[in-house]
Amino acid sequence: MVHRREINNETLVLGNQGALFGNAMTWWDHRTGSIWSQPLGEAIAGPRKGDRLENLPVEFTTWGAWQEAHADTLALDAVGKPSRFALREFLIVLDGDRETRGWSVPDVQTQGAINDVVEGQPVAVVSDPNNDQRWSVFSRTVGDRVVELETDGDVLRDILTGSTFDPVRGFGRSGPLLDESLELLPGFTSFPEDFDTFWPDGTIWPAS
Amino acid sequence: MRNAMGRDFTRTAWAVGLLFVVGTTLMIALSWLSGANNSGSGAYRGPYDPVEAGEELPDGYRQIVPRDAIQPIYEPVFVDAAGAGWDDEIEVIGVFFGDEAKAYPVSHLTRREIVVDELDGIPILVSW
Repeated sequence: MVHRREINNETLVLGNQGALFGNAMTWWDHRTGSIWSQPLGEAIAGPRKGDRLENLPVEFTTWGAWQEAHADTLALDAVGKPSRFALREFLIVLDGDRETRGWSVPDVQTQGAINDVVEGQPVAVVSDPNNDQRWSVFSRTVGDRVVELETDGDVLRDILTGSTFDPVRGFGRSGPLLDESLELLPGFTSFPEDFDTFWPDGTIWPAS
Repeated sequence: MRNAMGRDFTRTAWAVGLLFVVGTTLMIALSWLSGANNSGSGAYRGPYDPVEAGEELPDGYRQIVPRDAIQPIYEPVFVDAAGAGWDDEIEVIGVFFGDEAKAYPVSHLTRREIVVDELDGIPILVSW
């Protein structure tokens, strides 16, 4: 997960608390010593209890797929080996203030684009038609209209206007919405068991 | 003559001893300050710890190891894509914002767990 480590213009330095909460990692912040839950991004003890860090969009993907989309990427100076994790094991999650939704990666890969509504806001989860190891969560509100997305071949298209978009960054590529952009939302990947623990009221697509 | 030499020796011994004590004290103080600035290694003792303070912790909280026993990467270093030397198939966590994109190998994140970083000027925390 990736969080913005900033609250009220104060930059936080966070370390590893060395504890589990709900079987997931915890942090501590160097100024107040408060303890934070990683999946919630929220302080669970200490002076900052109840404060929450903003989630940022992040991808779990392969190095090859990431480079295809971001040729100018920087890489952490570290040894990179195969991990024991694979994208298909995860849920893609959007954690709102009042509602949390998960989509299984195989569902997203099969559907190409899933049009959904979270907290009353139209959203779409998109598997990159050029590489199914990449995905994005977008808002479907573009200006004063709502788009309905589908993938067709290697294209991400709005069914309603025929406009096409870059499936990674969301900017318009052709059609009436050429000058518009899909807003990227802070989706992240979670293990299904963590989803059940931290968002027990969360729902997984398709709604039963 | 012997007495004078003995006095000189005693003075020298005292001076060396004093220097040793002052030096050791300074080293300990510097080491502690360095730890307080989070660049030290090993467990860190912060200004406040809700566990040590006996604060009520939520159900499901389990302390496993001391703070920073799994040491976060506080000062990450980056190379360009060509310099990474990773196989295309390895799993990474990727983030981009503005003009900057960064990738972190999952195999390394599972060992270090936390990277305290910045992205296009925004302070971020990457965690696994």
